[in-house]
Amino acid sequence: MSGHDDLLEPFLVEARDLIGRTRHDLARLADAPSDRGALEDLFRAIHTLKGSAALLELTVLARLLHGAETALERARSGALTAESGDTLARVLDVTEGWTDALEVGREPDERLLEAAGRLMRRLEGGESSLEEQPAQSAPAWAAVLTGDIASPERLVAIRYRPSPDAYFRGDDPLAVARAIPGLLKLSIAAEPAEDPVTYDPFRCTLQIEAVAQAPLEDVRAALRLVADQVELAAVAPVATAAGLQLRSLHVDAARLDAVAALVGELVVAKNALAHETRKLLARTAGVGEGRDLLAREASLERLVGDLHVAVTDLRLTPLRQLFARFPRQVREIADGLGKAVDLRTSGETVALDKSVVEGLFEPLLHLVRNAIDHGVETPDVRRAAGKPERATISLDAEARGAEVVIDVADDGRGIDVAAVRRSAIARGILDARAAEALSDAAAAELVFAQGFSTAGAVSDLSGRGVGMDAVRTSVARLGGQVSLANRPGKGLCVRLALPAEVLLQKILVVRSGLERFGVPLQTIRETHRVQRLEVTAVREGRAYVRRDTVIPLVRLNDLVGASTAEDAEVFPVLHVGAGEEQVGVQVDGIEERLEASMRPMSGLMAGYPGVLGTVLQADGQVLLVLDLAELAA
Amino acid sequence: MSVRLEGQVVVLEGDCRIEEAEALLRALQEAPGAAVDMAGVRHLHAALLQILLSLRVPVASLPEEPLLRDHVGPSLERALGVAAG
Repeated sequence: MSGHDDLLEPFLVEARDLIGRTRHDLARLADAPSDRGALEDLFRAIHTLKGSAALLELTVLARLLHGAETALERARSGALTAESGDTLARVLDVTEGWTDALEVGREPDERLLEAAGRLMRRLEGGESSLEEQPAQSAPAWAAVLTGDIASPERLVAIRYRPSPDAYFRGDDPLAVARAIPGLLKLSIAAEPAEDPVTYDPFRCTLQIEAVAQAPLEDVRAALRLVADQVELAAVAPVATAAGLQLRSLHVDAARLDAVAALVGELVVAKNALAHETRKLLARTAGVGEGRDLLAREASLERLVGDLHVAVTDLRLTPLRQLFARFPRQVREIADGLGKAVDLRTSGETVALDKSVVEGLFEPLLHLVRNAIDHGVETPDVRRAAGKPERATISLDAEARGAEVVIDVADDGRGIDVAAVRRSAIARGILDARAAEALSDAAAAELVFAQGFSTAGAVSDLSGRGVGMDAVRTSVARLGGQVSLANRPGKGLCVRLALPAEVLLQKILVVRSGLERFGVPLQTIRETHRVQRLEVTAVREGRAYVRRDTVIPLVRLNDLVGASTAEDAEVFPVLHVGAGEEQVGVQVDGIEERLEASMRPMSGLMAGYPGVLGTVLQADGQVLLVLDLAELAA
Repeated sequence: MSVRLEGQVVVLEGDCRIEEAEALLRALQEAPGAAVDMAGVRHLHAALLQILLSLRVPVASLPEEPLLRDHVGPSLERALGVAAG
């Protein structure tokens, strides 16, 4: 393996993508077993996986996938049986387990090898032989010649060396080449002349190479008169790392990030220019050249905006690959807990910024674990409750304008609101009266409070380490929000609302003392102007009332460790958070709104609570963007 | 006559048959380093193409005809590239 390290990483990326696709295709086929398109897509994906596995000398895996491919080949003439579908799903499980092992530098374990062996025997159950591999038989020159051609069809590689006396025989090799059907590529070379004066133009030295997309027989027929000077080789559709049929290009994510960062800086520079233009215009009272400058700036603004959109689109990644990691997770978690769970997904083609898709795996996995562990009842309890024994968990994504909504829903028992109230009181999060006063919906939201868990027994899977508060925090870091729809006894739906594109965010700039901070506009429910006289003391804290709701009031100065002289007569307050966590954050001033690309925190600051990221301002200064709800919690 | 020399450019036109191979070679011997203008060519016999390839003649303009434009033109450029390298 060590010799293939540079190939391994692209393989892993590609394999995850392909496994995701194949699962999607299998689901399509489960609904419509004779869906030609799905069958073809599935065949291509498995074929590509096989090729890549063979390239990495993962012999057993390649053989397994070859078996799957052969089974599909048979299905191509009819329909995919449910049994074959099941076998293929298991082949994918093994492939995924294999890639997981490779990713952490391990060899596949016994269990995996055994499963592969079993599946291979099942696949070979028929008469098929694993030995015939037409793709491998193409000679090296043919492989080289067709290597850069993206075609899902069979190709014919042609090598034509006209004999030296071809011209005397009356042949015109170029006319011969012209007659090749489906000609995709033609390359002609000749021996260089040593001396133009002694050059013999009638001794043919041409070497012609060509690629045709046509049946081998047709090509042979077209070349029958020069058959003795021609070599032909049929080449199976090459579909290796280049993911050919999609005409896509794998670009290192870091390079894409670098381009995105440059565009971000361009936006900043453009903003700075706009700033200067305005200043200049103010001086010249908007006459003459000032106006031209304004027009130029407007067109620059539009171009930069377009560029920004284009780069943002490059980073859009469909959720397919992310969702594809869940069938196996669900199977394993459910098996471990003795529960029977089916997973349904929809909206795989919905795309989000790459960083968001990557950042979603952990919180989604946690929600799915929670659903299986705490939501889904054991089969006998479900039977007693009149529910089907197999529970269903669904992951549904939908694009809604500038937002993408992902619902993680189960048909389990839902959140036990009474237990949540008891637990919150026991943990001192609320007193008994406050807990009683909460609506059921608000009580359910308490699971997002820090360090909260309703599980009676802490199981192996959830309840340890991360809780719902961690889900909320990690989704907030991605610029999103979490909400619940609880149906006690019937199930729970956790909704993640995420920005479809994260690069540009609307940010409100606020002042605390002499410092300026950014707050994402979407996290602010409202801004209030509060009079000092309206503020009342509540226990150790302060609060004010808006629309019959008592809202706790904190000073941003206190949250960020700045000092406060004396409150003004009237001051702005940002109303943030939901349910029990809503809070008013008093600031010294609201300065401006800006649209800027926020960079997530990295390095030491990455885990810093309450800080979402930074924004580079027009004047070159860095603005910290705060998560006020988390800061105030 | 579909081969003629205009200054430092050899102009080819129409159907260029094998009978014109010697004329082309002569023109190129007379004007070493000349380029070839193929804009008006409909078909080029392989023997003429071989001369252009072997003598690494730069192409001043390519014909519209798809095979010549898309395949023969790039082949001629590759031959030049080999000479340069």
